[in-house]
Amino acid sequence: MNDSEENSVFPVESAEQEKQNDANAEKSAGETTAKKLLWIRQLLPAAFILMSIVWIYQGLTKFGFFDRLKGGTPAFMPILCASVMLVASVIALIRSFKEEKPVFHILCFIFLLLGGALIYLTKLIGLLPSLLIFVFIWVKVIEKSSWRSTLIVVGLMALIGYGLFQGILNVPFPNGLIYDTLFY
Amino acid sequence: MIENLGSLFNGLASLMTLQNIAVCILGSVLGFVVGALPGLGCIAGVSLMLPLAFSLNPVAGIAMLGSIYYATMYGGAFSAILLNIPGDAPAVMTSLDGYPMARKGRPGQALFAAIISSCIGGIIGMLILTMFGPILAEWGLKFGPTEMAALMLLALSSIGWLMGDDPVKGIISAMFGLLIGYIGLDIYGTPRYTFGVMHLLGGLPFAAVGIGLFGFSQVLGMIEQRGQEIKTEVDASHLTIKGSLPSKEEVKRILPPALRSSFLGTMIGILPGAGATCSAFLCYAMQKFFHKKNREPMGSGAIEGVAASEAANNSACAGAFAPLLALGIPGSAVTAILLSALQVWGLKPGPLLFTNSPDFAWSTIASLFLSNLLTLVVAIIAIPFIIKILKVPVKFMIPCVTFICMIGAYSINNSMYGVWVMLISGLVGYILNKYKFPTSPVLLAFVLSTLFEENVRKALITSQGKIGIFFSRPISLVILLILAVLLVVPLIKSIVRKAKAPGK
Repeated sequence: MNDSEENSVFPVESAEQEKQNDANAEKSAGETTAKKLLWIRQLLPAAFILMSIVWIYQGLTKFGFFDRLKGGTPAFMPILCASVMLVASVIALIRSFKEEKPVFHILCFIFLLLGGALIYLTKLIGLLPSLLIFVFIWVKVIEKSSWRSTLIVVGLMALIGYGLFQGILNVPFPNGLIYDTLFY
Repeated sequence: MIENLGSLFNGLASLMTLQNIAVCILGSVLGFVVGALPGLGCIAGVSLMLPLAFSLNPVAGIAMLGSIYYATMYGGAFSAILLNIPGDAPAVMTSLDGYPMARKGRPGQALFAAIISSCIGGIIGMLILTMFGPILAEWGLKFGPTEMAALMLLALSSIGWLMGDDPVKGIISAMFGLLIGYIGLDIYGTPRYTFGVMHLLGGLPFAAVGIGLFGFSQVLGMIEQRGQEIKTEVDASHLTIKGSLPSKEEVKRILPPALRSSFLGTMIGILPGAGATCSAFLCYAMQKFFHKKNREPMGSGAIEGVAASEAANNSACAGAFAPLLALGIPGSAVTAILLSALQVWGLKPGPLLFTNSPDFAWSTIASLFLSNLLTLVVAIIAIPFIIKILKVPVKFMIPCVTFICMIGAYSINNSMYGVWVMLISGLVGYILNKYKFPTSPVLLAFVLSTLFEENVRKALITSQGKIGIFFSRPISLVILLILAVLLVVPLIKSIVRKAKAPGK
């Protein structure tokens, strides 16, 4: 350190110390985030508890539990099963505090949203064309495969969809608004 | 008995025409493909081929339909083992051990175990049907709702064996499966737990839930692994016919569970409403009881698990023909379709069928033998081509499996409702896997839920609400005692073991 740094009111940190401090700050930020998200461990057991309560409440209020003449109401077995699930879920909730936090991949949820969007696209262009477009985009754009591989995969799926399911098994897939407007 | 065998050989002789053999082969191939595709299953396969069958003579027509019925069982095992997507409900048990075997680099051995056991189950089932069919059909009629409820409870307890390391999570999964199975109309047509959603009146379709829980959640797992170097034990030598053959040791391991399950499976198949699914559960549970401790645990790649479930579901198919042919009572949905086909041809199944139309009756039984053997040949030929699926890179598997799952889910009811159910089930399966909740008990309990509830409520109506009926009927009491033994004996064994080793 030079004289000006020694005499400085505010201690000047070296580059190494700065790096160390940055790393420590990141780690504690990560730990704070992880601690904040630890409640995720309790999410599923809590969801099961909620489901059990809803099933029991709906069953008791709408149908009752047991009818001697009819051999149990429509809610008889569901209430029994929901009661068992409630007890087990409470135990699972207590145990969850000692378990590891589950790690989710955001891409999986995005993929599911895409699946839902695909269903809406079906209304416009039909199920098989929507799915073939999806296969094409995944193989060519996302996975960056060659044209040859892309065409082989898309061709094979088209054969299964149109040839096997629609042609041989006569499954009536929806054609979509555009096709129906043009050809009917 | 010997007369019946003689009649069977006459039936086989009359079946040996070019047309009959050709339709058996066609039925085997179609049934195999349909069984392998998720969402279709044997009911769809048989009903889709009805128009073609009606264009043939009765012997050829029923031979084709019987071939499809058997072959779908074989096909369901292939998708269960290779992709962990059970083609139909009975194949769920096959996937528990078959898929881990495939991941461990033994896909061919798993497939061979499945087809050998299926063939053994089918042949033993048909032999029992031939020799004792009418007697067993009468015996099956003694099973009323009380006995069926006890049997379903025994089947549900078999799920307990699959709960893995954490029984609490296993119980939650099983109860969750039961609760979602109760969505829709009950046995009296009362809507429940639909929350105002019209589509839920029909309940959740099994195939869509199965495809989502097992197949689509698999896709989500593959997406997570994108970009990672996935270690797999499958190498090129395992994907040839030679590399797929089971060793002598493995064949010796396959035979005892296949034989046990064939006998038990036939008996269960005879019971009206029990079917191949219940048969597969119970035989798998039985195998777990007999399983040797020095082998891989059941549920993690034990070849015995594959053998037990496949022999059970094929022998149950044979057993289902006993009440159909001998009494004219269909034991399952598929045999109900076959009954309608027979009526269209002017034939009346029942006690008089063997008297009035003996040629047709014995030709039908003989055709089931023939179709069993032909499907075995078709399956063996298909193995080296189909196991190449495991070489397909994950980047192509993701869109292809998604494509097949979606069109399979649509095909169930020709409605996008199936696709929605499949997507939501996939999300649920993904979340359950992340929280280490087992998914197999969900599907197994879902399958048995309505059958169990139906029989319990009918039994309680009969007894006017008294639960004692389950203990006063002898067959029900025997089944409940077997259940008690299966639950209590392992508990006592573990207590005794702990008492003997107090210091540890």
